[in-house]
Formats: sequence, C-alpha cells, structure tokens
Amino acid sequence: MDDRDPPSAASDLQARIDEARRKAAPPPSKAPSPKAVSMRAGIELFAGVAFGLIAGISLDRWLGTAPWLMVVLMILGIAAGLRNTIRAAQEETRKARKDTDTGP
Amino acid sequence: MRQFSTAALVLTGSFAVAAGQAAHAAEGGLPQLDLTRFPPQLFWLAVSFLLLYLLMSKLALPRVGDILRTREEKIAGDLNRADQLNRDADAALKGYEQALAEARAKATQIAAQTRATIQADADARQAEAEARLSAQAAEAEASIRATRDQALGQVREIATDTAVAVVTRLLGNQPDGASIDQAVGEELSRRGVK
Amino acid sequence: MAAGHNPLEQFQIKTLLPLEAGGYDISFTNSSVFMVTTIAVITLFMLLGTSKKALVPGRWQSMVEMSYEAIAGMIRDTVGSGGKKYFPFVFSLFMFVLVANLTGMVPYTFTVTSHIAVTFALAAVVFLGVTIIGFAKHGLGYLKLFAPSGVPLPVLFLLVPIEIISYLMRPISLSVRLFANMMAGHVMLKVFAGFVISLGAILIPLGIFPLAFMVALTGLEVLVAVLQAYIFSILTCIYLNDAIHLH
Repeated sequence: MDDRDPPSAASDLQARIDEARRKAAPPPSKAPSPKAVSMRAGIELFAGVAFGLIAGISLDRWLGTAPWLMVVLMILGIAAGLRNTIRAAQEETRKARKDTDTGP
Repeated sequence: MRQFSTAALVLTGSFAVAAGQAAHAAEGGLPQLDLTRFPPQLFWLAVSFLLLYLLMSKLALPRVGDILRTREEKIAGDLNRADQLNRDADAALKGYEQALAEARAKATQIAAQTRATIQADADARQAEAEARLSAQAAEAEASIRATRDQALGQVREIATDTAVAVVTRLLGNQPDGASIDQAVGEELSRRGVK
Repeated sequence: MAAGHNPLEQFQIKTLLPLEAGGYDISFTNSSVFMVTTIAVITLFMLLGTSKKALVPGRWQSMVEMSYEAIAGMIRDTVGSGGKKYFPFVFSLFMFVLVANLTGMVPYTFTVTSHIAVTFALAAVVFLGVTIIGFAKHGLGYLKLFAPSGVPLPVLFLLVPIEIISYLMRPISLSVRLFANMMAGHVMLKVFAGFVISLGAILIPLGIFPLAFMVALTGLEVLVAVLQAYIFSILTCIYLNDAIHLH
C-alpha cells in the first residue's frame, strides 16, 4: 500500500538517542604517562644529589660526623635519583608497548 | 603531543644549563638564593594562596560544579524524554499498523460478505425467473396440448362426418354411423393419432 | 652583557612597602604584587566566566569549564574517587602555578614561580599534606610505602634507605623542576632580547634573526608554562594517590 518504511526511521532516531547518551557520559580520559614525562631531564638526579648534600651537611654539623653522613647520603641520593629515572623510563616503555598493542 | 612536550622538556633542560652559565657570569649570584628575601615571599605566598584556596573552594568551584551538574541533568533529561517520545511513537506506529491490518481484514470480510449476499440475491432472482419461465412454458405447453387434443378430438368427428359424407355420396345411402366411427377410430389409431 | 642588561636582574625582589611583624620582614614587594595579581586574575576568570551560568556556554565559560574538568579528570584518573576532597586544593595549586607562569610571560612583569622560595614552599605544602594524609589514613602502615613487597631481606636493607630518600627528595625535585624551567626560559628570553638590541645596533636587519628566535621561544615558553603547571599538579595527584592507596 505505502512504500515508506516508518520502523527504520524510528530505529534511526533510537540510534541517534543512544549515540547522544554515549557522548553525554564522560569519556575515560587517557593521561599521557605523566609520571614518565615529568621525571625527565635529570631533575631527579639533581634532586637526589641536592638532598644528599643538604641533609648530609646539616646532619654532620649536628652530630659532628663530617664528612661521612654527607658522603653516604649523597651516594644514596644518587641511587634514589637513578632509581626514579629508571622506573620512569620503564613505565614509559611499558606504556608505549601497551599503546602499540591496543592501538589501531 | 607527548613527543612535542618531551622535546620541550629536553630543550628547557638545555636552557637550564645555559641559565646556569649565565648565573655564573653574573655578579652577586642568583637573586633567588638571597635568603633575606625569603620571609616576605613566604608570607605573601601564604596569604595569597590561602585567599585563593578559600575563593576557589567556597565560591568559584561550587559555581562551576553547579553549572556542569545542571547541564548534565538537562541533557540526561532531554535524552530520556527523547527516548520516551521515541518509544511512544513506536507504540503509536504499532497501534496504527495493527488498526490498519484489522481494518484491512474487516474490509476483506465485508467485501466477501457483500459478494455472497449479492450472489445469493442474484441466484434467487435467477431461480425465480427460471421458475416463472418454466411455469409459463408449462402453461403454454398445456394450452397447446389442450388445443391439439381438442383439435385431435375434432379430427375424429370431422373424419367420421367426412367419411359418412363420402360414403353417402359414393353409395348413395346412409351408412351405419357406428361402423364408420369404429373404422375411423381404427384408422386413426393405426396412424398414431388418438 | 650588552647595554648593561643583566639577565638575572629581572629576578630581583624589590621592596615596595616595608613591613615587619614579629621581627620578620613581611614587606610588600614586586613579587607580592604579582601574587596578588595572580589571585585576582584567577578569581576574575572564574567568577566573570561563570556569571551568566549559561546552559550553552560561551567561549569564556567554556574555558572555565575546561579548566575545571581537566583537573577533575586528572584527580579522577590518578587518585580515583577518594581524591575528590582534595580537588579544590589541586585546582588552586594548578591555577596559581599556571597563571603565575603565564603572567610572567608579559614583558616587564615578575614571575613569582621563578623563585625557589615560592616553588619550594608550594612543594613543601604538598609534601607535608600528603605525608599527614598518609599517616592519618594508614597509621604506621604508611611506612610500608618504603618496603616494596616480594624483595629479599638483604636487598631490603639497601632499598629502604633509597626509598626513604626518594620520598624525602620529592619536594626538591618538584620545586626545582618548576623553578628551573621558569627561570631558564626567562633568562633565555632576556639574553635574546639583549642580542636583538646589540645586533640591531650594528645593523638593523641583523636584529631580525634573534627576534625571530625570540618569537619562537616565547611560543615555546607559553607551552612550558602550561606544561609545568600540569606536571606540578599531576605529581601532586600521584603523591596523593600513594598516600591514599599505598601504591
């Protein structure tokens, strides 16, 4: 009798409503591996050395153990700085691998 | 974007080295390391940051949060309404289709019924006409038969009379009426006329 | 330096109104001016942008909403729902660093965040706050943060001091990163501005090259200003996450 196909027009509207709903929901935002980005440029190493120096010298002055605590704390500070940098690098490689795995 | 920002960091890192050299070149060292200038900075930082925190947490952020929540609710409400209306439209369409199908079925039924009625009527009429016609035919037949019978009845009489007249003329005397009648009857029955 | 331009002069703190309280110098300085300016800019940005409370936001309101949602999303992603309480603080921190960085880009202004005293104070607030939250949430169990599980005991003796130091140096790396980036950028801009003047004095077209570089550098500096504000606040979120969830 009539060639129009009203049900398909209606389901198209349904699809549009569903899509608008999906858009209205907050999308899961992807943070660009902030930890890795922020720990670059050797700041971590510098902070380690700086901490070792400051804490070591003040403790030495207080306990009269100069220069031993400064040396120990500086070595530990360098180790901590290296550890943080390596951890950040590992995190970035892991993230990059995950990105290539799940990426298009 | 990440590559870009990483490049920016690397670049700024090298700038930091350049800045360090510049700092060595400058007389009197870094103004940033002048400890006598720390207290005023720290005091005013504390004052202004506290003020900012209060302004943001008590005034600005609730306002933005309200706006966003209102919009979210409005959008969700609009979508729900659109969904509801769409459902209603679907339901109405289904109802319409059902009514249409029903009407169509009914129409077919009525058409069939009408056709049957008309057929029956026509049949009845035809039967009546046929009956009337056959009655008329029978009547006509009967009248024909009556006329013929009458005519045939008269044939015997005429034949007898004629035979009497012929015999009278031929023989000159009046023949016996009864024998003539019998002879005519025999002759007639022989010829198949009653 | 050419024409007497010391690139470090811009970092000088100048007293505008001498004040003193309890033996401490709390003078109103050029740094204070820009701290107050920063607060004023943020407050005006937030309040005027939302004055209409439009359902369909204009450009300004969109920017306000974007900054709100960026920080809210940052906390949601890194800390989870437990971080909602700290949203106003992280937002204030982000906006303060961002606007201080950006206002410092304007010529003849002072960059509050190019001073280690300011960045270290902010980092110290974050560090102390996070440490207090950690101990309040987990008690002494918060110390487990320093002892990674599944490590043999001898290694632990070496690892625990390293972990403790890496925790204690957080405020240093946090503050030095911001301070160094902001200071380096400004020194570079000033040095190149000096080049523009000195080369332009020899031959005017020669000044074009450092000028062009300065324009590019300014663009880069704007990017760095935003990036550093982002890094400062996301590291705060990461530290908060450590304190709330113990990794």
